[in-house]
Amino acid sequence: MSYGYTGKVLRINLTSGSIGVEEPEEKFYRRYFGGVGFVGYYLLNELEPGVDPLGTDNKLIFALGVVSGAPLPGSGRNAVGAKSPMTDAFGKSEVGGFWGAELKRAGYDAIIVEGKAEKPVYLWIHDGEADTRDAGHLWGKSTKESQQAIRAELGDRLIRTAQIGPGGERQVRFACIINDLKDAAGRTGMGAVMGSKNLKAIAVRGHTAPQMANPDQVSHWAKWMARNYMQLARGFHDLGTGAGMAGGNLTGNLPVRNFRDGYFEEVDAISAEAVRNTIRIGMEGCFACPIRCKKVVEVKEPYNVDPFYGGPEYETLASFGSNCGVGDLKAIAKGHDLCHAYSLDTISTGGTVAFAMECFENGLLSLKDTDGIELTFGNAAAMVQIIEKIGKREGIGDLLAEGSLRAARHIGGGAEQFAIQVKGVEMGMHEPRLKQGLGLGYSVAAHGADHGVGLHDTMFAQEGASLQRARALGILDPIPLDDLSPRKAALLRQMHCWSIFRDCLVTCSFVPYDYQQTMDIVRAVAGWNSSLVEGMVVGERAVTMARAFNTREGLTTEDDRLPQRFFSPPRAGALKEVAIDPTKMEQAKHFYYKLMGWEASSGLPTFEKLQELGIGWVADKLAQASIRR
Amino acid sequence: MKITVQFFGDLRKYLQEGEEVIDLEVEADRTVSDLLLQLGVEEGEVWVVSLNGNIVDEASSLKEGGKIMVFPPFGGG
Repeated sequence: MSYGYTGKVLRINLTSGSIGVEEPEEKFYRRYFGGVGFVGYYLLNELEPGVDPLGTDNKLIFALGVVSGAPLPGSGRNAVGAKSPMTDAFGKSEVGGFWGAELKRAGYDAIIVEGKAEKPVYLWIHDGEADTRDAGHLWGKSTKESQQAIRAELGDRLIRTAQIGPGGERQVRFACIINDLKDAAGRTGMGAVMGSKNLKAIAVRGHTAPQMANPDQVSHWAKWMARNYMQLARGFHDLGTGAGMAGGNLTGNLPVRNFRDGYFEEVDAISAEAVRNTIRIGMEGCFACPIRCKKVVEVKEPYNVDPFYGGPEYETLASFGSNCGVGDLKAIAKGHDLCHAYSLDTISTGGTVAFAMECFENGLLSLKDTDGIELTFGNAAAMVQIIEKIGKREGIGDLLAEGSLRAARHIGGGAEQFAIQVKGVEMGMHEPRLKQGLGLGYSVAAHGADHGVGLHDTMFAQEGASLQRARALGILDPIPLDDLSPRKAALLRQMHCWSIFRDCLVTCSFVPYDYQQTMDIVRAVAGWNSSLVEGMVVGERAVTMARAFNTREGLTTEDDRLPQRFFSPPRAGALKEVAIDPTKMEQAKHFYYKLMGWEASSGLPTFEKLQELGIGWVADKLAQASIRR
Repeated sequence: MKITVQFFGDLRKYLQEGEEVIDLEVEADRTVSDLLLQLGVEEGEVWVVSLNGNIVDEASSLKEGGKIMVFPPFGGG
């Protein structure tokens, strides 16, 4: 009897058409837990080094965790992973909503998609069965049209879909996967991989709730959150993310004009408060969650913005707003709408548009290059036009669809200095010159400059709730924002391992259970004698597997590097005399490697560490490829 | 003197139902720190305070007609 998980993994080969079910043993689940742990296992174990991320040998893995589908807030999520066409190495993303819970109810813990279909298809997974269906009539359609068509032809309006729009079909390098239209597995180009396999959508429907080991205790935690979320997550409930953006602007956290400027005069026009006061028509939630932190917006003029696609959250508000110099909220909402219809990551899209704007202002792109579009910072209409061109890979959209790093290499003339990315992934909307531990995280994370690495330095710079909770991990003392000593590297290590552990459970980081409560939830769902020690080990294991995967693909310590921009201050604002010290950041990187038990100079996971983590087999995988040091 | 206070993010828990801005009458020599204490804000919950759009430290004096904004350490997604 398995509690929490179903014990079944679906493996689908789109080239041959074969569909099979694997039943890993309990120890497999205990070791890798699911989510990003499964992604790391399958990619490292089954891919040869050097595979083309957009070729037939890549594998696209949708993975749930032990907690997915439990009647608890935050358990509707799933992870997705593959070799990324942005990093040419590890890629992963997580997404909220309902699809993950539905897949668990349909009887599966993970789906491994291999090969490539000859013609567009979609998968239909329902109550233990799995079929491939023709998607020729869906190809080219927006995610909304496609979901409506799938629900109509299968005769069930409660079907959940994970799908790509025309952007994913055209393999825009940063295309994402859209769940149920309002949620996105945004980062690292998983939608491009899906498009490269001619896979339009995965539709799921299930009626079998997962078994809980201790249903009363699970129920206790659900009720606890229902009673306490207004004390612990009031901001998210009222406004979603992007509340208090004025504070981010005052302190310099808010990226402005491609992380160049440091202060945005129009922040009050683009915050979550502004959304509520102007274009918001409601708030919605994910599976089993009372917090309901997701904005729903509608605009009729001058753009048509469809509430089916939800609304812009913080990363989008900043990415299409301050970071493009745009103070026009309706244009930002339209950008979000386009990204959901086409399946494009709003962070990478905004980062690439900001890059293009800075190139244009510096004469590296001309009006001829931009199809006559005046692509300057602040030109909201231009931004909307360019986003649509990217989704269609039309004109300059075809170049920008490659992402800022590859576009920069093509443009030349010093354009690379304007590509604000690490390992090819555009940076999340939190300023590393303020949060320097996050900056370290951006540089060392296997999947690029993702703000989800888990450390926001402001939460640990003074006594407060986060530091109180962190006492359970043995962390006692506040650490200054610009500290890059081993103390900060150690804090990043702890927070990153915890964040990645949560990506193995696939729970939501906005549902404020603390460390101990989370482990009690694992015990109550799975019936395992799990402790916080185990949780940190599982996270560390998944982080290390991703590192090993990258090493085998040829990435080195040279790839763990922030853009030059951050070694100078922004032009204005609270941080106008604050820059990252490159020597300290370089040292901090090596402290981090050492604290992770990797080789201090290269970051290579050591034989001892792999053995300690119970993944000694990874040493053989590393030996396969010639490792540059 | 009259001041207004706005709480952001999770600090909205200090607002009353339906309230967005708190209007207050305070004594002339009060500081930001006094104000936070009076409103029952717990130690360590506040990251930054602004007065009329500028960051101030908690020892700063309040001003007549001052607009106080109080932010927590994490905002954003």
